[in-house]
Amino acid sequence: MSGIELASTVTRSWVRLYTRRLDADIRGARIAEIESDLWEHRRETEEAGVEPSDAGLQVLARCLAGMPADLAWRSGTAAGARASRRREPMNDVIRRSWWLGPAVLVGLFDVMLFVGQLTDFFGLIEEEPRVGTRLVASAAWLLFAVCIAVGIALRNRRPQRAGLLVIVGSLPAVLLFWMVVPPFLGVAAIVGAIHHMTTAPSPTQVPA
Amino acid sequence: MLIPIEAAILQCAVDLQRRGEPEFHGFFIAKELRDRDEARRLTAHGTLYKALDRLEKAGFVQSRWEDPEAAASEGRPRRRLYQVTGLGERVAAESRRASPAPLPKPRLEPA
Repeated sequence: MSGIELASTVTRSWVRLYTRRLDADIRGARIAEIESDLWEHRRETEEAGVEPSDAGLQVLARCLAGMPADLAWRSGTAAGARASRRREPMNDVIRRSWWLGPAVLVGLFDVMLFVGQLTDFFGLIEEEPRVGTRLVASAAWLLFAVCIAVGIALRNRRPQRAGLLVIVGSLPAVLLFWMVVPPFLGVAAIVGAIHHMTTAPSPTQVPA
Repeated sequence: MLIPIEAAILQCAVDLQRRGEPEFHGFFIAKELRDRDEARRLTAHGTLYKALDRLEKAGFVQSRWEDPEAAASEGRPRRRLYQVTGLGERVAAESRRASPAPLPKPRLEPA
C-alpha cells in the first residue's frame, strides 16, 4: 500500500468515525464529499509528479489539522438534529389537534344559540305562542354542544365515535351559511374530525 | 459574522464566478486558496468543509451534487458543486471593503 493509499484509508476511517450516529443523509454527504476530495487530491499529485509518500503526508496533514473542526462540526450538527427532534412532538400535536380549536368555537356557538333561544323563550312567553318550538330548538342547540364536548373528551379513547359526535355537533352551524364565520368554523371542525377518524391510532395503540 | 476562512472562500468563489467559473468543488477551492495565498499546504479537510457547511447554512453559497453519469464517464466520484448566491456576493463585497486583500508576500529571488 502506497503512502497516499494509506493516508486516504486513515482519512476515510476518521470520517466514518466522526460521522457515526449522525443523520444518514448528512453522514453520506460528508463521506462522499471527502471521497471526492481524496480522489481529486490524488489525481493532482499524480499529474504534478509528487511522490506517493509525499502526497500521503499531505493528505494525512490535511486530515489531522482538520480534526478539531471536524469534531466541532459534528457537535453542531448533532445539536441541530437534537433540537429538530425536540420540535417534532410539538409539530405532531399541532398537526393532530388543530381541529379542536374550531370544534370548541362551534361548541361555544351552539351554547350561545341555546341560551339565546332560551332567553327569547322566557322573554316572549306571554306573546309568543310557539313556546314548544323554541323549547325544542333550545334543547337541540344544547344537544349539539354536548355532542361536541363529548366528542372532544372521547377523541383519544374512541376516535371514530368522537369524530362522529363532533360532525353531528358542527353540522347545524354549517347550515347557517349567511352567518359566514360559524359555518366556516363548522366546516373546519368537520374536516378535522374526519381527518382524526381516519388517522388516529386505534384504542389498543393508545398508551393507558 | 464570517471567520477568516469563510471570508476567503467567499471572496475566492466570487472571483471564480467573475472568471466564468460559477461552480466549484471542495478540493478546487482549496487549491485556489493555496495558490492565491501562495501557501504551501491545502486547507485541512475539516476546516474547509465545516466552513462550506456554515456558508451554505447562512445562504451565502448553495450546493448540488453533480450528475452521477458525468462523474462515471470520467471515472471519478461525484463532486458536490457549490455556487455563490446573490447574498453571498453582497457579503463578500462588504467583507472585502472591511478588510482589503493583503499585499502579496515578497518572494526572495536568488541573485
